[in-house]
Amino acid sequence: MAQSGKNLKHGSTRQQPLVGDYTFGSVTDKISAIVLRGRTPRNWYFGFAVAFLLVMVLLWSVGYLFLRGVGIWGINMPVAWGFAIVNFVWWIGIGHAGTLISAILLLLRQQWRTSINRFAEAMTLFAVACAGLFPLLHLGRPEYFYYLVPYPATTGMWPQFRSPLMWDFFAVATYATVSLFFWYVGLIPDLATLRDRAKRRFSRIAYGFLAMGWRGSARHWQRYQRAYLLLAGLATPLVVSVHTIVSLDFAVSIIPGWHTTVFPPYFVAGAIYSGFAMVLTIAIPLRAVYGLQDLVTARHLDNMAKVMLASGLVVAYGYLIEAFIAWYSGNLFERYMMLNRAFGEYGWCYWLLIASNIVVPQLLWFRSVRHSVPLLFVIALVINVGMWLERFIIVVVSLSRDFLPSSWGLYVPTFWDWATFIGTIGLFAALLFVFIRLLPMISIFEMRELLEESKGEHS
Amino acid sequence: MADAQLYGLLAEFRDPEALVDGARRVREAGYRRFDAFSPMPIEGLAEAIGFTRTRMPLVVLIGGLIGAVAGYLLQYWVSVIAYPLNVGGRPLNSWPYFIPVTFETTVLVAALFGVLGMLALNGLPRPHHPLFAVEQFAHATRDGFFLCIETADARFAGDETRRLLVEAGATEVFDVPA
Amino acid sequence: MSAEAVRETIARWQRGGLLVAAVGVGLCALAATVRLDTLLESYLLGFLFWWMVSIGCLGVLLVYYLSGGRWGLAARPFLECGAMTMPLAALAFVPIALQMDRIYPWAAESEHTVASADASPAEMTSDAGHHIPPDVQRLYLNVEFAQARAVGYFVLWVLLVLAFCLRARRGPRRPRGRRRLAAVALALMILTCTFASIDWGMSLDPGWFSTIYGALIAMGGALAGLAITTAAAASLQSRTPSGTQLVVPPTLADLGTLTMAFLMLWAYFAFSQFLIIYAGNLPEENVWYITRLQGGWQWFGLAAIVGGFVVPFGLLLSRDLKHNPRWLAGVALLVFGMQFVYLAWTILPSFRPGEILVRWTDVVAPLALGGLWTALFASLLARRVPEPQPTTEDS
Repeated sequence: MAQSGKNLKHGSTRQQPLVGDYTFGSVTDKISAIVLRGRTPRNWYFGFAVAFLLVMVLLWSVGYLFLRGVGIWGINMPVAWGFAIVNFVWWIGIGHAGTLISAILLLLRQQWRTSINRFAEAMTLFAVACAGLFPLLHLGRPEYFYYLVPYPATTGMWPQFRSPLMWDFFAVATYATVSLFFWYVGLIPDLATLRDRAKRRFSRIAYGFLAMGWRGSARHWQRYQRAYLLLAGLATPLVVSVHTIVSLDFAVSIIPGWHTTVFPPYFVAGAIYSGFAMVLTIAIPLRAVYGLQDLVTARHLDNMAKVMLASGLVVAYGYLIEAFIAWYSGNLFERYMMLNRAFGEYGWCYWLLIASNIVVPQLLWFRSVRHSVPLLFVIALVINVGMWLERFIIVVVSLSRDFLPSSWGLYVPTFWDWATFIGTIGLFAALLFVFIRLLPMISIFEMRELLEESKGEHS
Repeated sequence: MADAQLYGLLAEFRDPEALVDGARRVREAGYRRFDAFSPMPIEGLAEAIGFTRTRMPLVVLIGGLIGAVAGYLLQYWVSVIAYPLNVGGRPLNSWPYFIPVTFETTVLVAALFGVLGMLALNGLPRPHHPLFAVEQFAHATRDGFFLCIETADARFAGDETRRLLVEAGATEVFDVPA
Repeated sequence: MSAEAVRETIARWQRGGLLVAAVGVGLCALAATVRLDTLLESYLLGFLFWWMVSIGCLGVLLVYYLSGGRWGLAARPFLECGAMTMPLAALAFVPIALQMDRIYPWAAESEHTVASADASPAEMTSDAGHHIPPDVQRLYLNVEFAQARAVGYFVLWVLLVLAFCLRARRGPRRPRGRRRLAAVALALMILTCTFASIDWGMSLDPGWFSTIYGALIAMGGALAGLAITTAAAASLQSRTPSGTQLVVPPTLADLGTLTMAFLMLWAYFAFSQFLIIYAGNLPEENVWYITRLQGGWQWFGLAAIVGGFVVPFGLLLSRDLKHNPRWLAGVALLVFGMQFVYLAWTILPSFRPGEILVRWTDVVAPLALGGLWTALFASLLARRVPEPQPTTEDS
């Protein structure tokens, strides 16, 4: 990276991936102390309590769902896919930024990934866990979910591989597995650090067990780095494929507003968009609470804002081309779908979506906005909402207008729809709280590596 | 202490550059059964101890090929032989429909091979290792840079080896009990 | 001297290009007197391909200005020269603009004749004939507006070339300002490129539509532009005498990796379009693929998949290959050539549905344009190519 090297020499601190005077020892201590030594901040207890309460809401609504069936939700014909699918797509989209940040930025040798990749990967895992819940709950008979697995059943039945829902099962399962690998492999050296730094016997044994005897051998590092790069090379197209397959759940059908060829890249861009928005939503409070401003620097926030802007523009391109081709095709149903989206019963959602996904993020063109932390936080939240609305519009609006006007209908979410959705936000947050308490939220060994590299560049 | 009870000699170095330099000197002195330990990957260290090519790409490639073939064959067998269904008049072996799952299984098996292959080649998990008995070695995951010559090396010769390590730049040399 | 070997190679490209162009233009002139319609079809194919290469080079250059990176420093002169051929593309478009009614069905049929296919959706969907929605023809697909749009596109693209290939080189502009300008430029370019590809390619089958079409053409252009850059850089590198280098080997491998990434993206776009239309199986959409998958055209498609994706992808997986300039140049040229095959497979069946029919002009007209393109590219490159440097140890 000749360029970033040059920037470093010209030397505004903004350009540096980390700020301040650190040594290998002090950077190790700073990050590991959050887990091992530091008093758990009061905010942590408070946040975890709220999240835990919401997890109880989730259990309550899922319990009631098992008792009464999917009739407690607002879904009915023709809108048979409601919040469950909207939330599934939303969560899985959020789950894309973590692996993407890690994998693509590693392949592109972007050093600024180092401070954010660990918790972004954790975020991926938890978001995928939340996403995975919804299709299962949506089955109606979740106890039969194993029908999706191709195994020699006594019934003699096999899954239907020409259905995108089967693809989805494989995609999400693969994604969850590979993301877990990626995260865990990245953690191994840090777990060894925690093992060697822990004072309490239980921590030593627990971290030691997970570290699998890592001792930092040069041979191990060599294989480790190759394997990690190869995993990144595999994970990058995997991320793309997962949201592509989610988009195919819609596009493979013939419903106007679903069946359109731009869906795969447009969904992937949307996933990156919402994923980065969520990373910012988490990173901004985290760095404030744990005083990590010199590890997660203004430069990180600036870069993430730029990625958001770029992916947001791709999403805008998707909206535009969908609308134009709907008109250009001359197809009655396509044209009606577009008009109904903008001016039908749910029209206000559409304009809210345009405002929050396209209009507001244009502020990110300005450097001053990208460097104003509160403003950035608000924009990230707005994008989170906007991307949720996008999925709502795709799922609900298209279904509510069947080909025959006699089959038209509306969808109104019920209390239980909202309770389940908010419950998963609680689950996500609770898992995140547990993670930052138990594992290093920033990759320690990569920070040491970064330190070594920047030392070389300065001398 | 007799050599028989030793696993090897562990030398600590000041910084990454000293370690790479020391490793090169030890290798030039003809030692082969030795390893370097550092809290992060160091460029050039693997070359310095004479370990250049890993087999990781090959392992992952084999995994990917197995995943691709197995994934497609599974779908072919299910859709054409075990449970043929006419879906919208498409052929039983409608390959465009089988690409997504084939891709997923390719990545899945390749990643499995990558992670498990890396661990297996590294001989992990290995809960205990003689090096862990040296108290100083805990710094190998913080800010310590170490090099260990095993007694199993054909050229290993107690004090002479110790002297070599000091000459190579070690700040301190520890005995590693077997 | 090592610089001379490089200069000599570039001069040879220029002479070769001019020779091919001279012969090609002569043959095309001959063809024009015999069958003008067929020549125009072939000419459109050639124009579209070389335009895609030019705009692709510009696009990749803008991506470099946005992202930075080691690969871009080496690729920059080649990308600039590729993008600077834009005026040639603009000139090459003139015959098409003047003969639109001979090429495009919507330009040939007057509004009056299509107006009969009005109203009912069943009639609007195209089966064999072209049913153009009357309001689309009135407001968008008409000769005057299409010509005006084309002028607008080319003005914008030439301005972008001026701003990023000439000005950016002279004036020391602040990198941050240039980055923002590049972002705006890239957004505008992708947008105009999308509409241009709808105007010039997709509208050959009015009534057929695909929302990814513009992105697919832009991606194909970027791939072709990057491939020709990689091929040119690698083959110049392979001709520098030992002890000197034009492009350091890791950078060359980076270009190979980037080509592979673009190749994957392109294949992903192309396959997405196919899978979604195949699965939906709606008559107004699938007719496009049905035309291209029967009567012999399917072999073209198969060649584009195998030669244009499977083989180069498999080869580019190898690290050793990416470090070998000669091999890398070969693979990049294969990718480049197969982009042409793929484009021919998407364009030609629109004119000749039902049976595979490749005229000799389909080869000669694109080659003639390609000769001109190469000659211009080489003459620009001769002034911009860097001096080969002595090999340093740590590179």
